Amino acid sequence: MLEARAVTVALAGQTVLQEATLTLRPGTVTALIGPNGAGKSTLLGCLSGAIRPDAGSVCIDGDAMEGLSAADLGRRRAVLEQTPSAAAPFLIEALVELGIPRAIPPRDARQIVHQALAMVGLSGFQGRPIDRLSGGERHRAHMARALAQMAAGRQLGAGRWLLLDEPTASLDLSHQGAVLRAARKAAAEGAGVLAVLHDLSLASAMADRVVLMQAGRIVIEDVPAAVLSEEHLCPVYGVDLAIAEPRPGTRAIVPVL
Amino acid sequence: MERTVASPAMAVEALAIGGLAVITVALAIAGLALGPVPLAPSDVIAALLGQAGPVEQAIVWEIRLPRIALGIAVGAALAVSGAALQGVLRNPLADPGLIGVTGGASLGAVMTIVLGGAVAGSLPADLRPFMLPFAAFVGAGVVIAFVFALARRHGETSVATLILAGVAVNAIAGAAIGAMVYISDDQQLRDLTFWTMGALGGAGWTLVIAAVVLTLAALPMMLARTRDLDLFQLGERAAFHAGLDVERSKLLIALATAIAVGAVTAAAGPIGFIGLVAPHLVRLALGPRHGVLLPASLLTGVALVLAADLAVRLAVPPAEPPIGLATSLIGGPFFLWLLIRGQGMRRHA
Repeated sequence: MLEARAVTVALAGQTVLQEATLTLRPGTVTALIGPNGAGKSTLLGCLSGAIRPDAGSVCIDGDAMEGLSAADLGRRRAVLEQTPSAAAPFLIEALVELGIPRAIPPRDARQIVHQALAMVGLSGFQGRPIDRLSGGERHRAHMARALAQMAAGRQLGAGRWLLLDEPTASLDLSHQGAVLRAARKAAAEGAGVLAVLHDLSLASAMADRVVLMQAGRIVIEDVPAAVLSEEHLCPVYGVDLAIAEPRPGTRAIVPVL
Repeated sequence: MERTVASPAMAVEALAIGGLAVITVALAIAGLALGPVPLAPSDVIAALLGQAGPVEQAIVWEIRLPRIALGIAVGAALAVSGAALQGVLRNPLADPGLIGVTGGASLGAVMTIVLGGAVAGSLPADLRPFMLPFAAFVGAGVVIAFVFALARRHGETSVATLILAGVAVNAIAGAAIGAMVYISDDQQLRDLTFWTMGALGGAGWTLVIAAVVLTLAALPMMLARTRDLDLFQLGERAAFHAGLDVERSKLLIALATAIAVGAVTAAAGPIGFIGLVAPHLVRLALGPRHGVLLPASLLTGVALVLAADLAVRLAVPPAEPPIGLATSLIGGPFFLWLLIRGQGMRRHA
């Protein structure tokens, strides 16, 4: 389990997360949704260990987050940041390899890089410098870095949690699909996946569980069909929504203008 | 596996580092052989082995060897420190001189030269040679701590912020050094004037040995952290996510750069631009990975310093303009070129 218990975070005197309690389970994809400023990225930051809560606690695989070294955490979970960047024009293979700790032998590392690139549709891109790629390609290269870190973690007996902060924001439809399939595949292999998503239709398509947040609090956590309803969404987003059911269990959600 | 790129690239890297090593050794030998009194390479070797005449022996051991040893320490320390600071700050213009680290080290050293006489008497004789490098280390360390704190507050330092902070720090250090010069006596004034221009020939064996020992202690601390420096390029949050203990790594790199810059500045005075020029040349040729960048910058920095030293020694013999003038003469225009070209400003997403 990766769990946050009554986690509260205040930034500059303002409470951005209030007593949020959330449990991620292995093999499950959880979508975290809510308006801008709802505290989604802050909650993800607490679960990744990057933000230390002012109150409450976070446990990963039964261990308290504060007691773990950065290297240990790096083996247990991987994170795709909201706006990943690289200040140097690394080749793609070098960028993806950054996720892999030195404990992994070079041969295995190359294999992991190769597979991670294939999963995000960037096979054959390994020798290109990152500054020559499009924005979407860069984002997928960073996704491959997180996937490589997961694979390396699994090889070291961990690698159970994948946290994605808006993994599809800058991608076209086909690449959204590639990234979300990669996340689903990680879950199928036993990882617990948390994805902050703005696209509610995508959330319904990929997630087993949906968590709706508003103003630093978790409003509801349930299966997609239960959360993605007018009753829950309209008051939180403050707009009228048209919700259709294109396939059983999925929802297509657009604002009514 | 289709690793079409990796193997040739690694061969190029190995070849480049090998080539740089050969050039560096050749420059070191030339540095021992050439000068107002030219020596044949065979004389140099004989003198190193203690089998040459007293004059050759004195020229090699008392004049040229200490300055070559100091030149190697200066080039290695400044180039690797520059590359490491640029890595941590994600900023390719973070040269120890430009951002004020050398200025801080200089102030520490100048204060020791002018005011340290009283303290020196109470120190054991063995520790006295280390007083100057220690003061320079403290000065460099204070500036690095300031720059890192600035970078932390703003998340990421822009080139402009960093350079302006450097201008301010250098101005403060310059004013304080000016005050020290004002209160110094004639002999100190003479020492200071040549020291502040940067010179390899002025330091005696004791200071040279201190500089070499401290540089040798600091370099492995940085060379062991090339993966950390690669990870810093992702930003500190992402580096932590990838498993890096960011604060510990920053502390160790700050410590190592302060030791290295402090040690060589204490012995040779402020020598500018090596930490900017060497890593930039290597990046242009071999790319941004720190595993290659640091060792190649080390060799490039040493080669640049030894070449600059040869140039000033051979320019108007027997006079010897300070080497700091030569490095600034090369580095200043290079820096301008970088600014105009926009290389330093470019950000990679």
